[in-house]
Amino acid sequence: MHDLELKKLLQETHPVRPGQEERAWAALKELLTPAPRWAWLYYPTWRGAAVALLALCLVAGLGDFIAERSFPISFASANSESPGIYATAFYSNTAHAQVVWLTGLNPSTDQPTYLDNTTVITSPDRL
Amino acid sequence: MSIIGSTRAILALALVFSWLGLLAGRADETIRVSLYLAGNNSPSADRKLAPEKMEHRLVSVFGFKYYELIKEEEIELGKEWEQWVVPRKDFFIRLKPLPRESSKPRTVDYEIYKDGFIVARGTYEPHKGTPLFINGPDFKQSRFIYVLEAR
Repeated sequence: MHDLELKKLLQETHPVRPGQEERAWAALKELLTPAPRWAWLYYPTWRGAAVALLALCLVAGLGDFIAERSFPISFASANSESPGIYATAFYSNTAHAQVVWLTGLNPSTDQPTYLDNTTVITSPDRL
Repeated sequence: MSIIGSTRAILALALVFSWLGLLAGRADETIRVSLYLAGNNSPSADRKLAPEKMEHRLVSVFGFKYYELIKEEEIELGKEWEQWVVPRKDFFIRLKPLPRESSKPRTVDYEIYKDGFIVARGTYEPHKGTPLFINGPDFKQSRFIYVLEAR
């Protein structure tokens, strides 16, 4: 059978659908030339976007960490402003916290303070 | 510009903007001021307690078993004027963020008031992860404690 006849016969029995050749060629091309390992890095892909976002977060976090640590911590100061009250400031290594310790304070109560309205007028006659 | 070049340009711009965002975020620094009532008697179930990590820190300094949160407020350090936190009328605190000097961390002036009178004052340098505990007055079998945390 001649080639032309064979081609005609094939086109009649197995017609090529639109785009089929391009898809076949693209699939073959992928097999013949596999993408390099780091190809996702150079072309915009979701994977690249996710890695870039993660890298940005890491860089920002690292920058923040370095900025925080670049300043040595100066401890809080505490000065008493009232007789009989003593104020001491120190750093607690176990709590990793600065502490201001006040001694000599009067205990708190549930009684009204000077900020509360304590003068309740019940009758105009009492004026 | 090739795809590779444009991708790199986008990444560089994203880096720049992320740093700008970080700096902008620093401008909105806040400190959280919390008043706790420390005691050894278990508070009722509806009361809010200190977070677990904070509780461990408080226990190591003050030794009480329970730390009940009375009230908490956030102070913006960008607002450089005096700000008051008054969870109780007999024990409150005044804070004044000081202007930030170049290449120096921000500091905050604080004043502690008891029964309407100032009892102590000082300066505090807020650092994330390093809170300031202020030991307050006793209340019955408990004690009031201020906690200042940089956010």
